[in-house]
Amino acid sequence: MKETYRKASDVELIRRVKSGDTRAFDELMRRYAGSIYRLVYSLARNHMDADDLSQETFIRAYRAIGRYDEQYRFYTWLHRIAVNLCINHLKRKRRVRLVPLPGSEIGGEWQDIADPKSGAEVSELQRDLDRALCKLPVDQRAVIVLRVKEEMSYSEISDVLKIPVGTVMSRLSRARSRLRRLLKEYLPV
Amino acid sequence: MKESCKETRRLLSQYVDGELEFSLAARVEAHLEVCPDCRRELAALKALGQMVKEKDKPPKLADEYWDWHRSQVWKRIKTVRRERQDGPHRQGFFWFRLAAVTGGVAVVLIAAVAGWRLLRVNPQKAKAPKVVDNLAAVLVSEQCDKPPEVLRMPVLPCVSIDDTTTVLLRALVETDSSVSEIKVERSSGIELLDSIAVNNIQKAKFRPGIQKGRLVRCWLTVPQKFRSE
Repeated sequence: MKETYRKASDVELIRRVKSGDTRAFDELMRRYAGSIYRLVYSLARNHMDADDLSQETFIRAYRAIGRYDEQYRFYTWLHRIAVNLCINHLKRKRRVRLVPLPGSEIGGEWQDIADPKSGAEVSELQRDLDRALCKLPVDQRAVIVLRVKEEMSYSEISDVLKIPVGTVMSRLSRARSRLRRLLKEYLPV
Repeated sequence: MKESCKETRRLLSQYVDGELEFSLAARVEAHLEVCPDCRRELAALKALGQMVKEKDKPPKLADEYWDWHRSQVWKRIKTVRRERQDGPHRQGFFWFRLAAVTGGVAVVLIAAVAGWRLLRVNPQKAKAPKVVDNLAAVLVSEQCDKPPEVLRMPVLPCVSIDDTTTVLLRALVETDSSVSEIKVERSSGIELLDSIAVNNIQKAKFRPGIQKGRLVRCWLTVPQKFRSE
């Protein structure tokens, strides 16, 4: 039975979900939870928010599955829900200034939640990169993540963030200049 | 920095992304061929992109986490469903609030209407001059700027007589609206009817007369008409 779900295509699973099959949605979550978490983490920059927002993305998707249009890829649809959720969350959060506790540092939780079996160690470069991305304003971080990591075109970014293409260009340019300054020791002079 | 370098740096971000239109891209490339500084800047931007793409990675989470993640999603979906089923309670609360607000508005409206009516019952009272001249000479209604007025007159009883009979009375309306004297100007010829008419005037309510903006004592002629049964 489990195999049937594993082998089914996204569209097939979605049709099953629409007819009330919850196990089909469980399989969709199993397929895309990792990608959605990675995207949300890139934007939110912390595990707590990434965990909460990725769960919220699937809850919203489950509730709105009746409106899902099969001509789009399921991941594209999920991706859009996640980005919008994240941007709204970060804009709300921006109004609240968080003061780090003494001794804590940005991105310091990285090793606390990582799977010890993965054997991954955080290099100095990764820490500095994390800090630099955290320092970027939300608007600039969103465009750099969508462009560089998600490989979206300017018009797609403009569509998702509901901003003109010209604004996408200027935000990307500013984001790159800032990252360039913050990470100059790792980049060619 | 040269002007051509400035222009190239401005366009470099779009050039790296391959989003620059052909003619501008050609200009950038022509400049890059001759400018080693801008070539280094281009290399730095490309390296930056590579670094963000490859090195910025979220923590690798254990398989157990993803099972827990899915179970949390289901838990939250069920909670939302339960909250929606509890909807009627919230709806009841909504109706309660609506009723309270409507009641409040109704009370305010009733108070406003009642106040307005009270003012309208005796508008002259509000407008009446405050200065009272009790020493002024007694006038007859024709001499007043504003003669006294009957505000309320009780209905006369029907009596057993052959024809309609009128008693003509004169009432002295004081400045405090009271009637201090009543004279029978023209009798009906029947003493009982005259006394009924006088009694009736005593029960009536008057507004005092006004002369040059002052309340004055004034005689007012009041006919009392008796109808046959």
